Amino acid sequence: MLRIIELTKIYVDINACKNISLDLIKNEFFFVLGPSGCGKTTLLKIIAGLVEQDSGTIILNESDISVIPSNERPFNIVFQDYSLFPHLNVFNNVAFGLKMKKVNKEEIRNRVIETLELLKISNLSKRKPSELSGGQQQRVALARAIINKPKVLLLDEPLSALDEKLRFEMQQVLLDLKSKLNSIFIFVTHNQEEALSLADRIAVMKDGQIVQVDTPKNLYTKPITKFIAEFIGEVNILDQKEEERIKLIRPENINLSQVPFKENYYEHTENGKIIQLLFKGNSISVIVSLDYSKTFKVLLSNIIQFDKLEIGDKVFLGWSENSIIYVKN
Amino acid sequence: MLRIKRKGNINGLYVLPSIIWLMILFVIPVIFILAFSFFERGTYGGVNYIFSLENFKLVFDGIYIKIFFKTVLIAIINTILCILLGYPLAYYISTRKSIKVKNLLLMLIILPFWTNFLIRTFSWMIILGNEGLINTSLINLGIINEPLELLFTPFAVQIGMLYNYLPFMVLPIYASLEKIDKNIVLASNDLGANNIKIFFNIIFPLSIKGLFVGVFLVFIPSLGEFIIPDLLGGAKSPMIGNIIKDQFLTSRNWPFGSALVIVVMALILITIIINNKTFKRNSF
Repeated sequence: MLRIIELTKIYVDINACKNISLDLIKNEFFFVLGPSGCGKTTLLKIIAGLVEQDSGTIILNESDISVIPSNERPFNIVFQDYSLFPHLNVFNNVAFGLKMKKVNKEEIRNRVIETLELLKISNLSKRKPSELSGGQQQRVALARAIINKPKVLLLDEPLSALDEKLRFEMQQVLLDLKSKLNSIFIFVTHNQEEALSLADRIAVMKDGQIVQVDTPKNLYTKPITKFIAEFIGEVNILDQKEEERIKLIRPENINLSQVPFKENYYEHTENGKIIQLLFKGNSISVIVSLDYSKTFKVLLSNIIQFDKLEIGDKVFLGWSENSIIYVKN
Repeated sequence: MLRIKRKGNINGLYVLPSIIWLMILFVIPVIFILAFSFFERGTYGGVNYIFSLENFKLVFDGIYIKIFFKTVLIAIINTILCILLGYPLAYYISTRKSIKVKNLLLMLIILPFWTNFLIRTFSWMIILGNEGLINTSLINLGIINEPLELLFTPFAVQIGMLYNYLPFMVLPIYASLEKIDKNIVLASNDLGANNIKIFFNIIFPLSIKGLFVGVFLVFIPSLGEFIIPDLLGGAKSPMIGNIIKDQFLTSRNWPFGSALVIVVMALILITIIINNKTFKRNSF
């Protein structure tokens, strides 16, 4: 188990990490999610020991490891830009960590071959990084990290540079590793979809602070702040009259009809005009302008039923009380 | 297809001025020198157009081949000294955190170029001479009674060469060190390398290209150097450049001078070929 206790790192003018505490467990995909510049990469580097914290401790299985230099920490990073060694071929890139630990040659050879096979890149072992595609480089970077059997594997934006197909493949690779590696996995990303689809738990970070830690499902359905609600998925703001609380509703929880709803069918109703229609393949996103110059976004998943919708149409919106999200301002 | 071809032709035109320039100022003179080296010297300094291999025989004669070897040795020592002093210096500059400090240090490296090369070399005569800075200081401090013989020695030549060629080693090494991605260094640290291992496994191999360029820029001109040995070495320690200069200006033996030039050029060509091969092996 990895405990991060009140970790703080302050750069000139900006709070990179402010009083961050987290408890992480084995075989869990833990994501740190936040917009760029929120300090998540700094947090990752502090955990790896590549950046020194101003205060706070990191405890791995009861022992304080924040005093151990990065090259002796049993942690490994997969860098966002892969950072492969350009002068070494794939084999030697992957072997690097073991060579530094003076593992004997025979064992290095066997473990490199084994790791390359695990990531299905055995055929690339003699190539230089410059001769690899982005997806291949990523696998090499991953191989280079996991060969050391790290207690903690840190991944910086591992999927964001990949196209749709490669991303799906890499997700499968990572899920496969989760069961084999017996490590603590910490991912850092700004991509909420990536986090929602892979994470067991997500910590949402903003301005150097952790705002909420929860499962993807809870973060989506029970966000505690407006920032999280807007950052993970989309929301419509219903009313901001109260100072402490804001009422929000997700676009997919609004029902749309071209005829008025029966009385008392929904607790809340509105009506307005369609000003924009965005066809998304499996859904339609409708922007409705309400009478009092407010716009609502509605997501319709039954595209056949709403085939006839046109811009300018008058529509009626309705939602039930229990689909309203209450958040702190 | 046709358009691309036509466009290609126009592109060819762009290099025409430089080709003409090189033909007139480089290729044609080299052809002249090559031709001269196979002729006989005229009685009063001209060239007799009679084929002869005497010039090359003379080149490989005792005295001259000795000077050749000495020249190569001086150039090699100079290159090694430039690496030993230049690499740590370049490394130091590239590891400064503040860009201001970096620029200041680079400025200091380039600063000597603002002064004429001859004046800089003359100033070493003032420093090394019998009544120069070093000797007077040592005598005044009572460390020595007689002035040390520093000027007009091989030592003075070596010092003068090191001083003049050091920036040509520092700058390309600095450039290649500066290009190394900081995350690559962090990655090697993360994978268990301490500072010494990071240097030998990552930083040095990644800066070797700059080192090769530095070797090019120092070794090749060092081979042809003649002003520094002239001014600081006196008559006692000529390099091959001095002999060549003498053949053209003093002895007026152009064919022999040409033969010497051809041999030096062959030497340089071999260096370039060897360097290129190692360069390619280290490319990534």
